[in-house]
Amino acid sequence: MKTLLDLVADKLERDPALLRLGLENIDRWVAGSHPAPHRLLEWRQIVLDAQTSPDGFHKLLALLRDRSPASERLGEFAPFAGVLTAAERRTVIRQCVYSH
Amino acid sequence: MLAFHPELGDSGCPLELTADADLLLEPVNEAMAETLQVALGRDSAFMAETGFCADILRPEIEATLPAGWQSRLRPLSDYDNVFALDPYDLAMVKLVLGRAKDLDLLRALMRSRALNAEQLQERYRQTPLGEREMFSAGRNLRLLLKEAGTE
Repeated sequence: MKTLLDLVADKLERDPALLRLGLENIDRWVAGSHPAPHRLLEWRQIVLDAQTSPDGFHKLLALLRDRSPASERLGEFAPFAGVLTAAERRTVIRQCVYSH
Repeated sequence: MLAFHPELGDSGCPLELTADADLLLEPVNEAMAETLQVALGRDSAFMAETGFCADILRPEIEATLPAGWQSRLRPLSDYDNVFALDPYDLAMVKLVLGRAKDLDLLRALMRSRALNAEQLQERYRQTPLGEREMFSAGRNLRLLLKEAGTE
């Protein structure tokens, strides 16, 4: 079953220009009261690397698709809200079993 | 936990990384839950704007909560009809699940004294659990108490 992050990775792979949404979100969230600014700064570097090199871009896609606990933890702070449409998210939401 | 210990969300504290909230609405049906999840959930427009999101829980989640949890709900100040799970009921759920992130959270909450080891043991003793859940929670509790030097 694909996760939201899998779908984000698939869409970024098709349209890397969407990476800018991640940077815009990070700027907005850091300027607000986000509880984990250091995670956002970590993500900012990952997105910048993805924008500037093919290697960085492939690392980002691999991170989004990785199921290891460390990657999933970082993925909880992924800044790609807005990359997927509501309809695209709904397909995953309908399959999702919620847990604490 | 943040409802009763907002200081735990400060920088360097156990809940500083919490950017989402689990919400169980009553009444709720699947269509409403899905609509709210789309509107407020992870990667929603709401999250893009605010950096925060919500998970809309389904009533089935109640089966995973300790018996009698409704009677221990704690009202949130300034709201007429909003309640938070008792912190020790939340801890019991985390003890049963026992994932690394669950145990990390419990360690941090015990260190910060948001959870008291004796009260946690008492809640464990009082909570009816299936055999598998009792074994898992007991093993995880012993581990945490041993690490905390209170076993």
